[in-house]
Amino acid sequence: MKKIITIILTLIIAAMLFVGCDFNKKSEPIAKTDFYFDTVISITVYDEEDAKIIDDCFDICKTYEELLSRTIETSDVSRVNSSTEPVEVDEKTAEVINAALSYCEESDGVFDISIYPLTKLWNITSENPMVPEKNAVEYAKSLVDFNIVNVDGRKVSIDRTNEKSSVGDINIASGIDLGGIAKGFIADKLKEYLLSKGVDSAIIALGGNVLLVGEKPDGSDFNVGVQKPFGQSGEAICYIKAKDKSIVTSGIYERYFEEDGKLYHHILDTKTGYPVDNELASVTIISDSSTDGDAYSTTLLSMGLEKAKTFLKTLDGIEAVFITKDGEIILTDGLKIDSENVIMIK
Amino acid sequence: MKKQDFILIFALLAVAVVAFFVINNVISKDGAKVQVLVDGEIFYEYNLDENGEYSIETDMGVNTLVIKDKKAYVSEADCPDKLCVKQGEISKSGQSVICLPHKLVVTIVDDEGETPELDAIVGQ
Repeated sequence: MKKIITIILTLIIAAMLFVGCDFNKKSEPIAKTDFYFDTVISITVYDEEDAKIIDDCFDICKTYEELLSRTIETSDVSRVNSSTEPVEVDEKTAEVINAALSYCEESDGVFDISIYPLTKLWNITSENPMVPEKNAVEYAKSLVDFNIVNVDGRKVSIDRTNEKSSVGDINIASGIDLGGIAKGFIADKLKEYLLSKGVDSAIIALGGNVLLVGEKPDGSDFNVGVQKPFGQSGEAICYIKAKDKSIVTSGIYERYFEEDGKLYHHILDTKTGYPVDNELASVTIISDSSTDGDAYSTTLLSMGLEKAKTFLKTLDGIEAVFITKDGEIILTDGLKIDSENVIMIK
Repeated sequence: MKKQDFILIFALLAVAVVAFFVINNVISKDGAKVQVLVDGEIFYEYNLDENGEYSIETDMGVNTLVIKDKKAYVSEADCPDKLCVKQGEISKSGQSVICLPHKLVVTIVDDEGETPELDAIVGQ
């Protein structure tokens, strides 16, 4: 009798071993999606179960949106853009502006946060965008010069001496637009937060930017598809296998409209005032910092392939995947093709 | 409990552990598969290692799929253009034979293939 009980107990333990201790079981990741900065933000955490961590991330997004959005009237950026006097901003805002200004200087104004009058004039994200009048473009362009932005501690001011009181009936004024850097900057802040909470494996997807935290729970690389320019949404032209990196793409296909058979996209050339026009359809930057990725992807796309390659030589730890309008994929020296369409860091 | 009981417990546990690893690592681990998609849905799935001849019958028509020596091809079809037959053999992950009139796609998928599962997409 005793023996039978022992056998039954053992069988129960054995059964529990099968059910309870599935060694290959992957813990379910926690994921949440929300909308900030007119874009979708999804955060997936693989190795923590407390969803509050992600809620905290969204709170960080909200804080930055309220400071940096150029469409929220009470934001620091809006207050700076509508003021003739120095404006006291949050120290976070000052930090972003200072970071942005360093990219402006480094790229000699190819990347320029004072592009605001041009983005406002083109208003490509509006419902019915159209090509603005030539003299309006010329005037808006004349106001683009990052040297007019002054940051002194938390006081930000804009030198408005070049503004004319009126050009036709169009209300164009100097200002700053942090759209080219804010998402990357915030992604870096989110990663910092996740790391501080002990998260070792996560993906921050912020409006098409991807910031990887660590590696997959099984130790392998994350697999990130690069959107095929003008392809179906979610259709990849190639794949990047990486861990702990920021991957950011700027592409002319992301936001655009057509007029008289010509395509006008959202990346504006600070030198011409019109959408950037060269052989590139998109540039993907692989780097440690997502702020770098955000700023450089726009910068390199604006420069065109040859100038971009020269510029990249001055940068450390920045790799790029160029996709031309012909669909050709060009890699920088630090990258290699692992297998067909799969790109890895050397 | 007697000594024999302990031996019995350990023996059964050992069997359980061994069985667990066998099931997880040997039986469920197989190589490339031949997927047959009709109208975008997976219709059949075969092992590329196992030779065989299969008749894929749908409302749209019949294709005969042959898997031989780790290669797959369509040997016969009642479609008008017979392009699926002309496409020949496929053997590598990601390759496919397509029969448009029958909305049939025969594709090779590998667990570690060139079309790996995506974790995210950038620039969307």
